[in-house]
Amino acid sequence: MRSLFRGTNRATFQKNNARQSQKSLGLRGLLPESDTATLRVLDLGPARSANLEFFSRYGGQLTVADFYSGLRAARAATTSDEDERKAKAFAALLPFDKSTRFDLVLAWDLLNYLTPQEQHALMTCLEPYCLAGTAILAFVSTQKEMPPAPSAYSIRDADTLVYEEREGRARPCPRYLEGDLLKRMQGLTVENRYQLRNGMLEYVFSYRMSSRPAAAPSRESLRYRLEPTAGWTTTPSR
Amino acid sequence: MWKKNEVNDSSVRPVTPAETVQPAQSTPPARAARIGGSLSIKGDLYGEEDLFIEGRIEGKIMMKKGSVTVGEKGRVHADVEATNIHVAGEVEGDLHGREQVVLLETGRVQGNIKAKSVTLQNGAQFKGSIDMESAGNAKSSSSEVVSGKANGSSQSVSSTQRI
Repeated sequence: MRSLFRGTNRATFQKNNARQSQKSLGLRGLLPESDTATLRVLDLGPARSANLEFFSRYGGQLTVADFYSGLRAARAATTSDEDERKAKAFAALLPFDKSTRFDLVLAWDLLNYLTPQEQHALMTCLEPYCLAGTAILAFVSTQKEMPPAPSAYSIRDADTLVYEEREGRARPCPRYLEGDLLKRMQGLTVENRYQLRNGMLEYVFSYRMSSRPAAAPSRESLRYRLEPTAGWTTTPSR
Repeated sequence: MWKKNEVNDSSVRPVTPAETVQPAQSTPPARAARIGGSLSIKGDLYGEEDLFIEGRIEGKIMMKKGSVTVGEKGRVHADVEATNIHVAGEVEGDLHGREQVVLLETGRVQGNIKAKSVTLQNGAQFKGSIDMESAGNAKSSSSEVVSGKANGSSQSVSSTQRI
């Protein structure tokens, strides 16, 4: 019998589907408008030459954490779900100077691959490096399945990303809800959310709470943060 | 009217980017001091010449003049300062290139980078910060095309073909 159904077999992610592009509706609004502005960026994904090239035009600093690659070791270091232990193990993955602050954190699709406790631990580790208004860009999947590991994202331009899916057997997707994410990642609010065609929800979170005195922000970046509506929209745009 | 032989004039050829910039390299330059694969050094290295590392170094490396190249088998646990730094091996430490830092395809770096020009080849692994205020000319590159322009100005390709 001839099959009339032609679908993509997503049980295993093939190499020929590894590199795909997707729109980003939130990234452009997070970039400084001024040519003289600087940007301090934390990329939680692996190092990508395109991202370095993209952010070099803004000056400032690009920090690459490649968080997931160290996650296995961190998971092995603590088998318990105890928050404090997890946070300590995670802190080793983000070994920054105490005075470090970030204007933008690129979480990409990492949150899909963290347990709820790990999401809380991640936010606990990030909090010391966030200022009021620090933006966190994240993709949360609404699909049933997802690749076995986070994809590697490269920025082609302010509106377009290229991502490389990892090969291997698909795994169930937790499909985290917004409310649950906000409960676990304290201090974050949703500035914008966009539904993308590939089944991802693109979130622009903003860090609102700071229990410590804020460190002096980088020059020019202060202007961009004091005018949060510049380049940002309060309603999801398509 | 048009002289066809001018088109095939071998003295006139397009200038490619690779010819105008210093190519990144993982093989030792002809005059470079070399630390072989069997050598392991603990301490500080100072000098004013090119250095090629295939062995293991712990400490600090400072070259007032010249380049430092970490070969594929090189293992460096040190802060490195040189005019140009090329990494094809493993480095744990900060890299300060007065002109250029290039992470080659097999390079693995954990540390901070500060240079006028930073190049990351596809496949290179990096964890750390890149000071982009110093890196006025950050470059991405595929494994086929390597860019390593030392100054901050953009490259221009000129073609002098005559018809």
